[in-house]
Amino acid sequence: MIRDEMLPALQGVVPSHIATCSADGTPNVTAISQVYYVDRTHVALSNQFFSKTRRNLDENPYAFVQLIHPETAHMWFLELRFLRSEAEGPLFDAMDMQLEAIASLQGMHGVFKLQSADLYEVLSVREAREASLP
Amino acid sequence: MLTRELVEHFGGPVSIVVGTRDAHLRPAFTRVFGIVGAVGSPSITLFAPEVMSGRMLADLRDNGQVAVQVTSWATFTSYQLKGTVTGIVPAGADAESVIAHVRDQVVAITSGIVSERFAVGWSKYVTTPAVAVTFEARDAFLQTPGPRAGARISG
Repeated sequence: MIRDEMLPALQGVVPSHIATCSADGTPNVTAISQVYYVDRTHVALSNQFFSKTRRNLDENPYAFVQLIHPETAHMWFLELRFLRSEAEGPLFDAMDMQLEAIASLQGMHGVFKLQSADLYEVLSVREAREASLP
Repeated sequence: MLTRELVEHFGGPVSIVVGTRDAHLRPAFTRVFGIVGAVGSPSITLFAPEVMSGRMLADLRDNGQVAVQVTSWATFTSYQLKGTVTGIVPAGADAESVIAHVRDQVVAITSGIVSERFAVGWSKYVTTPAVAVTFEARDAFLQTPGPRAGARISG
């Protein structure tokens, strides 16, 4: 599902966004520093301080993420299902290292601290071709 | 109630994103390009491009629940507003000047902090015709990255 042309949008140059929904039906939307490519059907999101997002996912595992290409501003939308959090191990370590680089790039050194690497299954990918003029 | 700080924030170089959900509590995300409100009022209007808003409008007509994050490209100062939609109508001519004002500022700042090519891409987003979505905010939260992210500022 995740294609090579989308990979630059997973580098954290331009923040991505995530929408979730609580069990009582209240949506929530917030920025995410890091959408980490795991494989064609899985991504991991950095959990730093978005506690409302995390509470929503414990109640309702579905999420919707927007990616933006850092060179063209092209957009993709991913429907995701939350699988699990990892607070240690190879995935966590790789994301922690990349998050340090993203924090430096965005002047957020010392602000971003990885709490967990949250793993998601990619349910669908939609390219927003209609959003831009050629 | 909207504060002067929030209303001024809306007129800056902002990224405006909208969270909605369907009848099965499946969330969705839409990017919009203009937001206006008046100091002291809970009523806020978003200008959403028709071409990108199909799912958002279907969700809002189903249940009216909306969350909106407004983030400055210049300072990363960010707020989230949550509320219930009270009206959806075709946007008037006033929307175009609001959209153009925000777009021009975003293009100017992202050409420096991201790249010229990215700014050109941003300027190519199809933003009209637009739909005006008005909602009544019941909560506002600070979302600037840091220890106070998520703190309620009104409601």
